[in-house]
Amino acid sequence: MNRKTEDKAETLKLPADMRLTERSWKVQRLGWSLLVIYIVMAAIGLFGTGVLSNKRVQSADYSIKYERFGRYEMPQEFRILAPAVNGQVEISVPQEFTGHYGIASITPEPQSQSIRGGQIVLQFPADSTSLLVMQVEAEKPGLHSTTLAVNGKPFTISQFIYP
Amino acid sequence: MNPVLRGAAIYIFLLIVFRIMGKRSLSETTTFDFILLLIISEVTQQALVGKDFSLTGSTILIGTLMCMELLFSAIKSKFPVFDKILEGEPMLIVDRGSPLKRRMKKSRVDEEDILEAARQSFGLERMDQIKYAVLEKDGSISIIPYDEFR
Repeated sequence: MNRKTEDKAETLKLPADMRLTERSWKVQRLGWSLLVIYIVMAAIGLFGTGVLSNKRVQSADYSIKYERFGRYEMPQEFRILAPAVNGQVEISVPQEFTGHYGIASITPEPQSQSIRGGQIVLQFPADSTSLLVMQVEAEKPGLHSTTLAVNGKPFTISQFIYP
Repeated sequence: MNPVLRGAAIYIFLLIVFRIMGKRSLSETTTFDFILLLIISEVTQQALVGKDFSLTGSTILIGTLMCMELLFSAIKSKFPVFDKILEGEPMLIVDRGSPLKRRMKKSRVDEEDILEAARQSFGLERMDQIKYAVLEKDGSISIIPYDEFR
C-alpha cells in the first residue's frame, strides 16, 4: 500500500495509517506468545514454587529439601532430615547466611544457639531421625550458595532468588 | 502456592461467581454496590498475593490474569456457545410500553430501575413512552423510546 491514509470513509477525517496498525497487530501477537511462554515457565516452577524448582540433597540418612529458585521475600522452607548423633542434631550455618536470608522460624526451636568460628551453631536434642523445618525469606536477589553442616557433614545449598 | 495456579483459580472462581450472581450485580447502581465491589477486589488481592512481595511474583500474577483473558476470548471466538454461557445475551424487558413481569422478576430488575434508565438517557417520564427496554449483557438497561419522544 503506497497511501498513508485509507480511502474509506472520506467524509470522516480520520488519519488511518493502516501500515502502522498492521505492524502493531503483528507486535501484539508476538507479545501474546512471549507472555504465554513466560507464564508456562512460571507454572512449571522456573521462578519458584513448582515442579522444576523442588530440589533434594541427599546423603545416607541425611536429606535437605529446598527450592532451586525463589523470589524476593517469598516465604519458603528448608526441610532438613537428619539422624541424631550423641543425642542431638547439630546444624551450623555460616554467618553470611543471615545477611542473605531472614529466618522467620525454626521448628522445633533449638535448645542452644552459639557462634563458633564464624558459624552459627544450633543444637536440637533428639533421639532418632528428626525433621527440622526452617522458614526463611530471601532478603537479597541473586545467586546464593550456602554450605551448611548437619552433624558435621557439609551440604551445599544453591538458590537463585528473583527480585 | 504457585502464583500461576492461584491466579488461574481466582480468575475462574470470580468468573463463575459473577455469572451466578446475575447481570444486575455487575452494574454499580448505588454507592453501596460500588463499595461492595471494592471490598471484593481487596479480598481478591489478598488471596492472590499473600505474602509474596517480589516483583517477579507480581509480574507472574498479572501475566497469568492476562493469559486467562486471552484464553477465554480465544475460546469464545472458536466456540460461540461459550460466549452465550459466559456472557449471556441481551434480553427484552419492556415490549411496546408493557413491562415483561416474569423476566424482570427473574433478573431482579424493577420498574423503578427501568424508569431511572429512561430518565437518564432520554428524559422520559412514563413507562408508556418506552417502546422497548433491553437488559444488556453488562447489566445496564438500554431504552428505545417511541419516535415522538426522541
